[in-house]
Amino acid sequence: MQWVHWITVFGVVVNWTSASLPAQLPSQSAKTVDYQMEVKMVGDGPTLRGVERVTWRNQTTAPTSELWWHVYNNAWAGRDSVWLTEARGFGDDKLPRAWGNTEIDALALADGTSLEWTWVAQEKAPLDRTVMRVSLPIPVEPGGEVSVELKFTAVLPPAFRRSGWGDSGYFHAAQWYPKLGVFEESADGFAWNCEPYHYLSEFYADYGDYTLNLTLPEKYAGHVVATGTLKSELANADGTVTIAMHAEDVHDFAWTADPKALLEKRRFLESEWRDEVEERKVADALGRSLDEVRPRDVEMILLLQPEHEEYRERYFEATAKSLYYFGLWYGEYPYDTITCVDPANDAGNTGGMEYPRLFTGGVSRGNHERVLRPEGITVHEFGHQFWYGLVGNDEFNHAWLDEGFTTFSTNRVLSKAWPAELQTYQVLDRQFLGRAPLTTPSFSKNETRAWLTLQHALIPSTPWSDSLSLELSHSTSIEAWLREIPVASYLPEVTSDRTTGLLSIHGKDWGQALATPTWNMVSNQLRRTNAYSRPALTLETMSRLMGEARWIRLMRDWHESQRFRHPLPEEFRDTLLRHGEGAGVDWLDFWQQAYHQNPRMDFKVERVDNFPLVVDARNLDSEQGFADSIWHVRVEIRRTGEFRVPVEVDLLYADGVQERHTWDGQAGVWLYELPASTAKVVRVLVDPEHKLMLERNWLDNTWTLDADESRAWNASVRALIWAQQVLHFYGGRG
Amino acid sequence: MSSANQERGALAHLSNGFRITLARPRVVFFLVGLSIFLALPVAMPVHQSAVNELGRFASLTEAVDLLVSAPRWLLDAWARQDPHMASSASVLLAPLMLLSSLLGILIAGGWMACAREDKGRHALSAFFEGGGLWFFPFFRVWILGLFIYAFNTWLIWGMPGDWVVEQFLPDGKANRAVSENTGRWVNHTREIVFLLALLKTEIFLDLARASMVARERRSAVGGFIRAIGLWLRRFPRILRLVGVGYALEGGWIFATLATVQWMAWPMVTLVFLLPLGRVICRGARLAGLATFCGEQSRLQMQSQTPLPTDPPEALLQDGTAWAGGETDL
Repeated sequence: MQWVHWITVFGVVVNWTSASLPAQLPSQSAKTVDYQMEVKMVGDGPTLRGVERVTWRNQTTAPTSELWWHVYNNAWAGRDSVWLTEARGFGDDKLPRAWGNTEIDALALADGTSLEWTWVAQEKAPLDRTVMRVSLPIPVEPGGEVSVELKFTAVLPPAFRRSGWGDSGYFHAAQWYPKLGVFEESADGFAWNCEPYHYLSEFYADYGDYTLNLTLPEKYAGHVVATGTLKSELANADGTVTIAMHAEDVHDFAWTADPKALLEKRRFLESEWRDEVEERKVADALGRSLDEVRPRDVEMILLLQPEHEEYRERYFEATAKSLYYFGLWYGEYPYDTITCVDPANDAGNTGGMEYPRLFTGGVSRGNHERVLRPEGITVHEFGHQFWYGLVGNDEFNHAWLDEGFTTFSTNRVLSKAWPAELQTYQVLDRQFLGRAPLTTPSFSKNETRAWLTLQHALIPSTPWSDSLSLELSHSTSIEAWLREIPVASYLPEVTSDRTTGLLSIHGKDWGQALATPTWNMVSNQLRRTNAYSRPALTLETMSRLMGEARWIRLMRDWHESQRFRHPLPEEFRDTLLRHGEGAGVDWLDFWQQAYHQNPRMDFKVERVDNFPLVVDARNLDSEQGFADSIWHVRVEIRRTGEFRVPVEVDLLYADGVQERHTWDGQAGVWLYELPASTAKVVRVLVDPEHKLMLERNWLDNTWTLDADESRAWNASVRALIWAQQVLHFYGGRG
Repeated sequence: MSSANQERGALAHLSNGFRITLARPRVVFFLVGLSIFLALPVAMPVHQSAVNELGRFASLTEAVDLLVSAPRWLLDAWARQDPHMASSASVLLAPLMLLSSLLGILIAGGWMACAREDKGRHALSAFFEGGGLWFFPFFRVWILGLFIYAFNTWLIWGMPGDWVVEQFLPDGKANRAVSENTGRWVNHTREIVFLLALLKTEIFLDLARASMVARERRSAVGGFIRAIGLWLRRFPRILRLVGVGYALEGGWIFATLATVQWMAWPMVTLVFLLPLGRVICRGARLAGLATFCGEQSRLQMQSQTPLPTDPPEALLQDGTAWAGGETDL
């Protein structure tokens, strides 16, 4: 078997030293748009009155005589918006506490020519006003440009979905200004890609430069952060302050102001976060020097709620590690600043979201140190700087190119930079380590069974009265503690890895392929599966199948070539084919299955036999009929899922010999027989290195000759202790 | 003043309760066995499922003992592969919860009857005889308790509680408060108040039962009214008795866990040790409450019995208290 190992070593050497990847990081975007904005808050808000002077450059090969705009803030103008209509369709009936909206006060060309605009009626919501169409008197030819001046009045809603304000003066302005759509080529020719504000999708726009002069009440001085670099902050005589901000090569602009929040700036210095082993690996894979792969220094800005002082260092650490690893793996972060906003408590809906150069985190007090909050959300939302921010995919149709990549990258950073998380339970909002072996049953108040658990008492209806449900108990964390005594009955150390945590999608619906446009998914759960978890697991599977060096080159090439662009899934497919060559996988077939279809990946050890070898068929009922210590070994592996992919199978024999086989996974069954083996097979492992992260069930991928009953015994002892405490508690109830 | 007129301290009653309980080891061990027996139907499906799904699973990289450690993905995968395991455990546990509550009434009756007998019979049969004797009166108290639970729950988690919370939190929601701490403290206070209400209800119900046994009265409503009276007159002592009893039970739990860990005993020893201490502590609390109520009842009756105002003639004639020469003090 040694020759197998030498070939593997040779392959690794070739892999690592093959084709260096010349650096191709663009220094700037095509600057399709330029926004110059003057905005003033009226009084203490929430009204903003502004004027934006927008220049749009036609960098396509087709002319257009229209400009299409997103006016996302009108999603909160009334119940009849697309967003709220779709939300109701998905069973989400929530409404903002107060409406928000944006009115267009005036629209004209730079030379003063007035322009007419119309709201584009949407099929499901004809009264929606989140898409505006403007007709131009003269078409904009390829290579030409047009400048318009737009006056608007925007009323932000109380924090509802990603945007809004809190009662203490917190303002988070996201999707707050009229923004141009993207004029691009589609299957039907060149057209404006300008979807309304959908419930299930996010935002898409062109790259360019933004300048904003924002005037706010003076209480906000020193408490404003934004996509752009703050250039100046000038106090005005009327008790306001004007903050000048500028950002280049971004496709959106958000800002946050909070008079009570703490603002701190720190410098990310690459040298303080060096992971030399990882740097060497990346440099070798790319064929570049260490200096070429090391990320640059950046200013980190944190807007922190005073109550979250305990998380200050954790926020900064998470941001710094993100800057380091994302920069190392994909290309340095190009901007001067990165801002993290810790949302106000009454504006938590604005948390967990990303904008160019700014992201919102969010955390509650009482987190255990082995639970990665706020680290997880910080790394994830930072990750969007690279996927969505710098690689500007179409979020309406291909959210997975952002969320899937970000989820994949986030999990890589978390597993690299922090110890594994441990599961916790909560008592009075404080977390403690442990996981319950079972859960106490609960029933709804209308179920007759509810009285079994003394939670509800359903009194049936009579001829004289309607049925009555009395709530006998209310679930609280203290009662749960007293009932179950977690210190005695819970499993104390349940490790929780983010990547394997994604395997929970196998318990969910996979009804639509990844190729399905995001905004058109049939449910929010499918959107989450298809945008986040499933693509992340698919990427992880790809990376493990092709090997780390190839993957490093692939991802680096993908990011560098697509930075400041609007990539399509087919372009990623081409990148995959280019870098995956030689890895022993038919990547086109893999892509076809993973992206355009819905197959599940599942292998199983169906059967393992160690038959004693027959030497005398006439004496099968005695030992003379069989050879001494010679076995006919038979191993049967089944591909029980539809996804066809190569898989490795390890066989371990009783004499310690280990064999690795590779099956192409095309047929439904793999059969291995060794007619005369001197040792029994004692263990079989399908996919021993867990390359197939999309595998549906790992439990049946292994087989051992001697079943281990200790786990069953341990699990049942835990369950017994837990049940004893619960029943003892109820023994004293009443 | 004679000892019969003296009130004993709360801890004296509690320690007396421990004496009564520990003097009946057969009862204690029976109840420990019962706790194992009742929990077995929940543990058995878990065992079988683990044999089927995990018996031949081999992990090369992670600790998977399912006693102390396990990776989350494995537990989740197990649940996906055998969703019936969790649901069957739940289905079995639900009626056992109700059964435990009803058995608790029987057991409470047994301990309280033993406390009344005290140095009388110690046999298991005596325990169950007492429990059986008082089962239905205690069951009526149990029914009364359900209405009190419902009232508590409505008061704290229903409209009145919501109204109070809305004075502190906009729309009564913690995530609408400007301060996260405000939201947390309001919610925590609500939980703690609910817990105290539950505890108070349990104490009242146990007091009601104890007073019924002490006075040999079978009226649940009467017992509850007497319990309220006792609480109003003697709540610090009652609180001490019950509180120390719970504290000792908590101490037993932690001491047992620490001992098992320190001595590296197998986890299965907890199956015996935990209920052993908890059964004894609960029995001691119940027996202590019973003796406390008995003492209160006796004192009350003594205070109601009028003192003789005129001595018998014989005393005046020959100097002795009674003609027979005996005293009755």
